[in-house]
Amino acid sequence: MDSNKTVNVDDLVTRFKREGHFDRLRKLVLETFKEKESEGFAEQLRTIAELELEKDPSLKTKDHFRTAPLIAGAVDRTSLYENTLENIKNNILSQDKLRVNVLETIKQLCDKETEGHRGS
Amino acid sequence: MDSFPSKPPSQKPNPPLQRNNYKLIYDPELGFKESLGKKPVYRFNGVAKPPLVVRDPRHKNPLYSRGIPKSGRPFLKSLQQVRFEYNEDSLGPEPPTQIFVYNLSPLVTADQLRYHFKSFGDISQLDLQLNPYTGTSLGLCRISFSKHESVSKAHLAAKLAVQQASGLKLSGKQLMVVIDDDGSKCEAARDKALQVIEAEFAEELYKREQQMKKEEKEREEEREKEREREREREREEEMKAIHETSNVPPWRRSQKNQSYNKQQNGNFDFSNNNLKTNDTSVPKDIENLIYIFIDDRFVPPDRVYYSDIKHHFRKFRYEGIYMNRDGFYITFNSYREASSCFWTLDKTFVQNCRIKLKLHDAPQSKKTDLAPTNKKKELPKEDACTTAISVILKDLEEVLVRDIKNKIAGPCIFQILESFPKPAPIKEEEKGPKISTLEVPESLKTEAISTLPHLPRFKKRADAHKIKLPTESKIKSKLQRRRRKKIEARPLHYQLNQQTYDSSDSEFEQEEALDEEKVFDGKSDGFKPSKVEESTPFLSETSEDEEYLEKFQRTRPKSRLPRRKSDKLDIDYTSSSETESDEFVSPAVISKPPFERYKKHALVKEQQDISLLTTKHKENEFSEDGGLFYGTLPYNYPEDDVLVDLDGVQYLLKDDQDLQYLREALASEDANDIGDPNYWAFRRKICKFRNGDVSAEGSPVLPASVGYERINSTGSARSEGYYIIPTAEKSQYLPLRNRSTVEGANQSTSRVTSRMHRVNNRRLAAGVEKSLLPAEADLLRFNALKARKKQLNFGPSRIHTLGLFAMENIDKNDMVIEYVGEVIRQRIADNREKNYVREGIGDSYLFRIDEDIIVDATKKGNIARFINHSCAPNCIARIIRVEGKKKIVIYADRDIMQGEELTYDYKFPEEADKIPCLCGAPTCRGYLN
Repeated sequence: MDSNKTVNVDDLVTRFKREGHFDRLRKLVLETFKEKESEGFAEQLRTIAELELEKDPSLKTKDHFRTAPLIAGAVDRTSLYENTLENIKNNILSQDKLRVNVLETIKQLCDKETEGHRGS
Repeated sequence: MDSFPSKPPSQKPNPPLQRNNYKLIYDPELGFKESLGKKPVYRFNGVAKPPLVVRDPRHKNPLYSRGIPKSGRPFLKSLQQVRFEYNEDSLGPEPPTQIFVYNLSPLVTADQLRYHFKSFGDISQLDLQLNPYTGTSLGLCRISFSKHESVSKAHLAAKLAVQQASGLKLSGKQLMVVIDDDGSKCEAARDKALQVIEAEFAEELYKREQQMKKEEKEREEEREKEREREREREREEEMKAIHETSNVPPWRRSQKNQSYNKQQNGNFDFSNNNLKTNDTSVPKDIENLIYIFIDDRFVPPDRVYYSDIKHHFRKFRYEGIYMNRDGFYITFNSYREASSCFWTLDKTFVQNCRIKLKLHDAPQSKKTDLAPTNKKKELPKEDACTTAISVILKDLEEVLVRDIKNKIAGPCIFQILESFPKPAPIKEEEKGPKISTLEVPESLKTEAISTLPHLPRFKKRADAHKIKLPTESKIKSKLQRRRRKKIEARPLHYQLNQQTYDSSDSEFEQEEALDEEKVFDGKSDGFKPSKVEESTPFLSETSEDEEYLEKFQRTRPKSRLPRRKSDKLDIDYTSSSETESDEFVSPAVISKPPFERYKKHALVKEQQDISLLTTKHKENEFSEDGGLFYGTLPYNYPEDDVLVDLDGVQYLLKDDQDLQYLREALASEDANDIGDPNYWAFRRKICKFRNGDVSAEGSPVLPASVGYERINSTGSARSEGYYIIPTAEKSQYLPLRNRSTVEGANQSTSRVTSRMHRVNNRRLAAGVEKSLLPAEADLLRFNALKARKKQLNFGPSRIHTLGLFAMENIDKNDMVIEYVGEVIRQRIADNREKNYVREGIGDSYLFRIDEDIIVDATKKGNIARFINHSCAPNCIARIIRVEGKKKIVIYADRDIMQGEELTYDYKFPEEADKIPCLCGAPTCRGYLN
């Protein structure tokens, strides 16, 4: 096979991560999430926490450092995170702008990769 | 007889005095005999008419053979030659002690040889030479006899072995034995044998390789065709898969491919390899795999089994082990693993057989073909891009969930918790906001704080400060410094929080300090600013502070200021300082203090009322947040308003030159009277120390009272005459003094008392018993700590010879140690006691359990027997029943400190002859019995 026309996917992904694109993407998504959806998310969290505190009123009197993990566990048990992730997928990750951005960087990387092959 | 050959003539080749070799046989002058005539008769050179018979004169004595009467020396039948044992003083080479046995049958084992040669002498080493490849015997053996007893003996044994063992038949072969001192003969023979073997092996190997190459060539061609076809098919499949499901994650796809490949291979195998019978038989396509081959000649089938090989290679990730009559094949997935295995295990031993490995690499083309199946497929650009994006998005999702959990949900939960009203105690409230400020992002911080019901006062002040007047946030640094000590006792998160404020403050301070330094530079000429900065890092009260403090002052009613302070205020306004104040020790005549005042002078000119405010502020501050400091400061702090205190000056002045400059600089200042300068300096330092600003080591501290200073009325202990020093006092300076007599009430405050311990235990037990099953409760009741033997040590005792000392603190009623010894009857005890007295064992280690049973620890016992008697004991001996047997156990009668000697009351019955008691207790009865 001709190595100039093919690209190893693994190499491509590691390259993408190594050059910091992945972290940038991650930050970007998180920021957008914070801006747009954190209110709803916080609201849901609050309802869960309230439920939890109603169930066990003794939590209220306890130290926050103890209650926080308990509530975090309760949140884990609900489908909140899955739902939020779905939301993010649908709303943020599916944005055309972002997609195009990523695609372009990857294409660039692709080119670099093939050049690297040629060099070696 | 012939041991006394009287000059045998034959042995003298040319006797020089032959002429004179006459013996006078008859001398007429001694006794005249008619028959012999008047002339003396000589015997020449031992020739006589009746031939001379030489006799051992000792044999004339018939009793001679019995030996010399009353002497232990044995009678020697003949003279013996003196032989010297070979030792380090002997000259010449060591007599040989090694033998080399050859022409052995290969069936003879080392054990057999050892058995045979043991009869000649102790064998220290027996080396049966083995074929390193097969582990079979080469028929050569080196035996060295033990020189441990003596070299000559070993040599004798070796000689004997050579004499007697040569020609011996072992397993049908006559063995040959020669002396082989340095083992060279054996070595040579072995090398020769090995050469022969290796030559044979090499030849065989060469033949085999030739054959293999031929086979391989044939197979290669066949395979090439096969592979071509396979690849074609694969590619088609691949393309189809990609086009169909571009959303399928690539790993799954590749898996599919792999499985597909496997299937393919399987089919291939199956079609070609019908001979395959079981797991261990070698697959036909072994040549396509990476494997390590062990030749059968290295692993004799009767000695090395499949399991041995498996065990030998257990540490490596091989794929499979196969064997046929050629040897073993260990196949590997990767070349790297195989090669690492090869390097570590080549020429190692399996069941005493050295195995030579042969690494077989898969043919080049095959290898490249195999490699990508392990990794992701190489894809054309567009496909690669899409798959890469899907991979990245998948990763991103994972990461995002984590991010949301940690960065958003976590703080959010805290925030939610904050917002709930709670009936919580103060402590929690204190913690809550702190945490939130730590964890909540900046934007939420103010919100969280504002929602708080209320905060502890000092905290609020700091916060309010930050929000309202950012410039005023620089709290007096000195104050904080003093606080810091207390702060360290708080939980870590609390400290951390405090630290953030501190650091932000100190940054400002540093800047200011620099500013101030510039100002100073102009005034105090020739002074190194950097040094000043070092020594006075926190002395930068500036206008901001002033502002703040003024504000602060306004909030406090003036009447609350102590009168002393207002005095100080007046004084401070006059620049020439605090000398008049009786509370403050003043700067002085000598060079150092004036410098301080000079420094202060400059400061005061700038901001006259600061020092006043600082002192006052300090006082109030401490009374205000009582949590930090209880009570007022022990001493007022004269340095509060001084830039460099005594330590600072001492630090700055490094040599005479510095001092001279200082003098010059202060020449214009008036000197103050401070009385004795040493005393003055001492007071300042002690002040500082008590304020907790310096560690104890840096300041002069009087030695702590040791409790045995006696003030002699006459001025000298010698002139005091006789007086009794109480035991309690003595024990403090005599290290061996029995510490049991010390009243240790004052020391018990610091440590956990036994009572506390007991109470805690009881509480714990009660708490647990309520909730636990009865069985578990039972378990708890048996407190292992109570039955544990304590750490004890015996040593010279003040009371009597040896004593037992506690090496740890022992609580009251705790078991200390069991008194262990032989359990004997009264009768025997009486006898033994008499015996012991006769033997000179003065001390009695007999402990009576009851009328007839006595524990004797004199000869057999534990260290409990060293416990001395005391009339005021700290332990008590109790006889308890354990499993129906009576035991003596020593319990602590009171709390015993580490290092105290253990004592108990022996409770001897009264007797006529008294044993004096030396316990030294105030309540001593004087006698043990």
